[in-house]
Amino acid sequence: MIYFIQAVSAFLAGLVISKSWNDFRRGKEPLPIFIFWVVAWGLIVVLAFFPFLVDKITLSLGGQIIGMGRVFGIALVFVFYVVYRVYLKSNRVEKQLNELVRKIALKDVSDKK
Amino acid sequence: MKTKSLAIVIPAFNEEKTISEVINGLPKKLPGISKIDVIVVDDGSKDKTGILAKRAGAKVLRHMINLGVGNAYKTGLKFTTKKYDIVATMDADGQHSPKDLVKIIQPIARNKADVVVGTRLKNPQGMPMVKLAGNWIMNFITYLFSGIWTTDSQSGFRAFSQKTLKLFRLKTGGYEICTEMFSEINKYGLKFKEIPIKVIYTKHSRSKGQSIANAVNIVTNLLKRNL
Repeated sequence: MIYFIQAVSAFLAGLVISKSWNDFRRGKEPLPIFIFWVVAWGLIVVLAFFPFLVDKITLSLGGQIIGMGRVFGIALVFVFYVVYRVYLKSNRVEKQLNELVRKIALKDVSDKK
Repeated sequence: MKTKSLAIVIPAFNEEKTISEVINGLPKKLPGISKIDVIVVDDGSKDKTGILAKRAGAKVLRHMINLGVGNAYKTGLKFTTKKYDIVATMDADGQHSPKDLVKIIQPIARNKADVVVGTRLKNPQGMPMVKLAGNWIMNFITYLFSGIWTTDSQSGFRAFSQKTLKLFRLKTGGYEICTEMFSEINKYGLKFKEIPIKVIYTKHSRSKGQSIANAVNIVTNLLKRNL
């Protein structure tokens, strides 16, 4: 039986990987980035379908059983940090773009005088 | 009395239907004003707005891409701040009557105000109910963010003294700039006056402007600005 979370993760993985593949084919994305997305989303799908693997991996590394709940918690913190970084960067790029467009508009007028 | 120079800044995005009429309708002479220049900020229009504005005698500042009305204001104000004694702003959709321009700039020319806002809501005849409600919501939001109660926080018909524009530090780029200006007025303790204006509602001008749904965007951007 496939659970909702498994179906969603497989769907999203398919979406991201196919988009990344298209971008790679058109030369919009380098090979290492494409491989990164395939490995990252492949891992997410594998863990969604076989959650016991988390404990097997941590036990084999000499740790203790941590469970999927904790993995999700850690992942959530990581995702929020990434969102924060992306927000800062997009904000900065937007400001720079606005400033650039404004400068060109003002320069064009002063050049025409 | 010393005569002053006036710039009329008109932000425009895809306004080829009205821009020529708006520019041609502006007065060429005003009492106490020695020089009048019309500055159109073409905010990345896909139509002939910029070409028609230039043909009508305006100076055109062109954004290569559409940045939003707030950024168009900022470009126009940056260009005019040090060059003109008074700067007025008007909408490009033809909803403002050029006859009201004298009323808007007079308090500044006579040093009775630093900022004048033309209010459509002291005589809101013809304004659709949805827009009336939307304006009231925006006035309330403006009060929360600036501490100033105004009857028309979203009016694009405004006038500023040069001193005011030198003080303003505007950060937003969309419609929220209308509210942000009130925050700046309060911050610097500027003299602010509201003047009732007439609004010309046409099918075109009714279709323009912002929707109530945009209030969410405006609040989000104002929160971002104040954080």
